[in-house]
Amino acid sequence: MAKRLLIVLILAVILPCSAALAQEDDATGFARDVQKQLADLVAKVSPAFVNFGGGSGIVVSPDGLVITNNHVAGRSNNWTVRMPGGPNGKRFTAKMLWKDTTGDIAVLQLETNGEKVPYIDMADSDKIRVGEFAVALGTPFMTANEDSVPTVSFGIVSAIHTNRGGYSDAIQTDAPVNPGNSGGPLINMKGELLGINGQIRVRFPYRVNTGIGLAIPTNQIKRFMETYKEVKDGSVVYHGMVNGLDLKKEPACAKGALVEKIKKDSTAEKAGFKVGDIITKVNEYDIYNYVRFHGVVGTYPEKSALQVTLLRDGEEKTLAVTLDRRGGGRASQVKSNPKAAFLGVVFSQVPNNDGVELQQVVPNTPADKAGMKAGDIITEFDGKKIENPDDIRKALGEKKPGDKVKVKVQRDGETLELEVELEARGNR
Amino acid sequence: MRNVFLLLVAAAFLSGAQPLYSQEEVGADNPMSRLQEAFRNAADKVENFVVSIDVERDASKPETADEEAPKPVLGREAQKRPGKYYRRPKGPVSGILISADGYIYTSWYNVRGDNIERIMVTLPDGSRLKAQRLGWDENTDIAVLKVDGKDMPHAEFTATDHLKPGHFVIVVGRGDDRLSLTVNSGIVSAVNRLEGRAIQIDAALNYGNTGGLVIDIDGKALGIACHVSDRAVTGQNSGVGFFTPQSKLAENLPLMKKGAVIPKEKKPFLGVQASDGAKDIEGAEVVRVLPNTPAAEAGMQDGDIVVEFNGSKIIDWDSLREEIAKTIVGQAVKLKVKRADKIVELDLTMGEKP
Repeated sequence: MAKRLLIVLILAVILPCSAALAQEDDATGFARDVQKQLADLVAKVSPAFVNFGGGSGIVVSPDGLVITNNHVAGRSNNWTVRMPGGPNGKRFTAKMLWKDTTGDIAVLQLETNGEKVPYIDMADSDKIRVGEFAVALGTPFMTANEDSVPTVSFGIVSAIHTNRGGYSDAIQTDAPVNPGNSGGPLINMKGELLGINGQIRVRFPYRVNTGIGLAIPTNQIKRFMETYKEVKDGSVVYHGMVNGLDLKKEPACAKGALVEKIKKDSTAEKAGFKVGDIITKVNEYDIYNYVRFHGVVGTYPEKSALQVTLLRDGEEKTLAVTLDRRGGGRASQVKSNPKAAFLGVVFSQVPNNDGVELQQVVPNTPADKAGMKAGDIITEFDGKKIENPDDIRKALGEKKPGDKVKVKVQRDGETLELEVELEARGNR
Repeated sequence: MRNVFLLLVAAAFLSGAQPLYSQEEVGADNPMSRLQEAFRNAADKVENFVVSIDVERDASKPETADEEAPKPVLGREAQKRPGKYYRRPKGPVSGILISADGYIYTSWYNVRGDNIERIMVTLPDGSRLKAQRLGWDENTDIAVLKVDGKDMPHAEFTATDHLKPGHFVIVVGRGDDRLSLTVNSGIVSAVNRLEGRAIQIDAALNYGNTGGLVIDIDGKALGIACHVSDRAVTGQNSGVGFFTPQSKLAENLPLMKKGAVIPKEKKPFLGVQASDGAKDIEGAEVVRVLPNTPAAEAGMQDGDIVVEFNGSKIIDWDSLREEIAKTIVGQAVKLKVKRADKIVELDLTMGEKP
């Protein structure tokens, strides 16, 4: 009896401990399985990484089609790039096929001499769900420079359909993405390309990740690759837009995009749009407000034929429209001239070419002193109408430090006129 | 009366309100709970090895004799300057007990400089001890401290050969109150970085957890979080971080314990940033000349294309890099650059890579 009691007591002491141990091992074992899966995926996709020196790229076909950002590769039609393999990486020559300066994409062809190269598949980016895991490959801060083995970072898709100028339908991720990740892939848990990482939001003045990275979605890129598959001479290709179609700016409107004005003899008029139409769909994509309309249209090349579904007097109608050419972005990174006139803002394109939006006003610069604020939309600069970033770059380029310039900005629905005294850029 | 009212309120809650999420639905052993359990367990295993370090400095003196007190750096300069990018903030940093008799690893950056008045270590039990700075290795960014003690719990490091990109890592440091653990998670980003001296991770590293312990999902000690400094272009919490792995820690430990200083390897430095790989240009195109560097002092300009270096023809950035590597710090070299279709000759003295 005493012996039995002792055994029971011992069991009582041992059991809870071993149960706790088993649970811990189980949890750790499970975590090991998860990390093995991630490590295996990383090992499979990393060989398709392309190192552009200061930027990144990814191979998407066995014969060596490479996608990167225009702001990485746009300034040269011929490149020496490296892929993982050996202590210094494997060198390839790559030739520019075409570049999309607005959407910030460049497509190049590796010279492989008929050899097959490692590549990854392109996902259907319309199927992305917020919260899904994502892996970024790249060479942030040139970390991959020694052996061209990419830096891998891990996170989730934070948002989709983020509209920032040329990045009109961007995937937002919290996977750490930094300067040098540009042009590199964002990859899903099937090892497929979700998009090309190209922009980060930063906290002035530090150019490091803040948890907001933007990637250009594959479905947009696939559309351009299909449309421009015969273009192989490094030409610039263009995005589309509907000329003459003015939509009411109601970001909160969830029903569609309301047509406010139609310009005479414009594409919009010829396609049959009428004031008061509510656009509810572009091709298969639901349109819930004017931003999304421009976001969707921005993913198509010029001359694309789109079906636009709308409500007119309560009835559904479908219009066919062929897209006009949208103004270009930057050819490549513009070198800063210290003697050039300087404003001190970071801007982005506004949908429908209605001005440029100030994303940042740098403290203690002419823009700051003149009272400009982030969020302002510049519509006129020195008497010239400003429709897109190119306009303001051009207008600013014609000015000298010391010049006083009148600038019209829209703020909270009001138009303000400010006077800016330009300064020399210096090393800013 | 009041009780009745309370009962009514309670009844209303009980009958109508349903939580949006209940563990009963997903089960206590759902995958997410198990994953979080694994991370908690791993961090718990090393809790007793992680110490908090206060480095008390004489603020009226510069950190090192050859360096002025830090100035704030703004704008474009912050990205260009090879000097300081950030300012060392106030506050405690982290370190790891590595022996029963009180040897401690931390990041060299944490205890760098000549203006240190006192180093105080707070142990996990709250006791505060004065620490001695012994040796350090400027290449791996590791320093060794010593406190008096015996039978102290301490970390045993594991080899990192098994580690692959994509594996989980956890960085364990001490927080502002000197006692709370700070735990940041991430994955291995690359296994061979900084010429083999470091493993790269995407966990958030900052001034507080630098010197902290990097462990795997089993709670095994892999190395020390390092290379977060006021000179690191990667900044803090960027998702680009490094740790010095076990093999590199072991290499110079006996020397560092004896107080040896392993200085930074001197590498020749020109002071330019170039665009890599663009082949339409023959030569090495300089995108930026960094200020206060040999290139800047010799009058090199943004946009110059280096076509000859020290008598050797330069066809691309690779060949320039190779030629730079052949020189030594302090060597006089002649340079030919193409500027607006003219060839300009420059003389300069190679500097030291910061």
